[in-house]
Amino acid sequence: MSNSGEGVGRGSGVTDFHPIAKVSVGQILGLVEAIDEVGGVADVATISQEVDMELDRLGPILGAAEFLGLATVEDGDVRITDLSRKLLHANVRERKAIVRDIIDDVPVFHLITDMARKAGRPLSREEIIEALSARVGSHQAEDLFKALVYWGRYVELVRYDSQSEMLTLRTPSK
Amino acid sequence: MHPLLEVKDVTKSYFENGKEFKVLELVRFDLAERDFVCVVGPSGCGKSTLLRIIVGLDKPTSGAVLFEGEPIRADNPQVAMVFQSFALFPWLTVQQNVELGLEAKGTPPEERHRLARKFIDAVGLTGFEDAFPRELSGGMKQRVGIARALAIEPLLLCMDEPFSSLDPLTAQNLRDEILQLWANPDLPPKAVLMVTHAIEETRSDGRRIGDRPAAAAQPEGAGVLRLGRRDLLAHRLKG
Repeated sequence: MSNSGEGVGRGSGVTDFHPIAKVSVGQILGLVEAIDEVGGVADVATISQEVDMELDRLGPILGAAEFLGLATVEDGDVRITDLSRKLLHANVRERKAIVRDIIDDVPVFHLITDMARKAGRPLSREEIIEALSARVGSHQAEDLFKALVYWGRYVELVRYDSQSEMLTLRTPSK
Repeated sequence: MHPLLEVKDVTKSYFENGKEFKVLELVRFDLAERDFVCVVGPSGCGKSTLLRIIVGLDKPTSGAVLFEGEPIRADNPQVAMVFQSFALFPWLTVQQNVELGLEAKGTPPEERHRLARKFIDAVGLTGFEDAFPRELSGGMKQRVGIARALAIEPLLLCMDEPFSSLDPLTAQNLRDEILQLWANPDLPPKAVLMVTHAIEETRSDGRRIGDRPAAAAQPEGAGVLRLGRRDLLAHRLKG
């Protein structure tokens, strides 16, 4: 369940973004809420039963939660962290700010925001995908790009116009 | 002073080959300000039919639905609806989808923009204003549906199985955040009516009201639950 071989662990390279490329923020928060409801720690099978989700669907979400520092997995037990508790007690807006701090530390996300900042102009989808391809290979670059836009929009650091396919940086609203 | 909504002995029958099929029989309950009421029951028990009658899209065979003391009309701008299927326009952005209801209401463009932004922010979607539905996760699509319903600042919000097309974790998160949202008494609506087949969505701590008479052949577990004042409810569920 720990995504071994996927380069999990923050700060160990750009492919780190992977674990959250295929899951939504709602799923991760829902998982944290569900584990909290059963006392903050549970084995994977119990969680699967509790939330009525098969392991193959739950796995990537657990992986993402672990990657983001919201859960630890040890001997099959999943435990929520202090950071999770902070999220649980936060309102919708505060949650965004907390996730923003986490995402901002993800190297590949940083790569894009850095690129946009240095360029000082909107970046095209094409040039970002090119930059990503150089790091993660072209077949993963597309998914990664979508994920970066998704998370970037959620934390209000990225604006993307899917018609002109241009990405710009934005300042969070509050 | 009338209750916000009065469902008075609503019966709905369908006739086929001269035979009567009763879908609803003498359903009766009130909704007051600050109520959060759930219509609960397995699929096929007539919940959606009841909701269609309540919002004026369908007529009861007998009985009546009153909104602020007057017969309900389908075009009542004080009643908003959230759909199971989200019902978003794929060619419109999040902002445009939310503004739609306001446009129908005749709100001027600047005010439309402001209100849409306010409710997009309230449901946690700031950052996605220019995104199209296809770029959103299921949970976010439903947040757009909720923002659109709230933007018209309705007195009554009706939700038809709002979480049932979402995966369980997304549903849990959305449910928690929506309840949190309604802890703020400054936000519309005054009252919420939710139709659901999932008893756990009601957390089963509501007080059962408006049971249909035992004489009618009712599926097990069908009924109307008053969950309590919406602001207190959110705190109780969180705590």
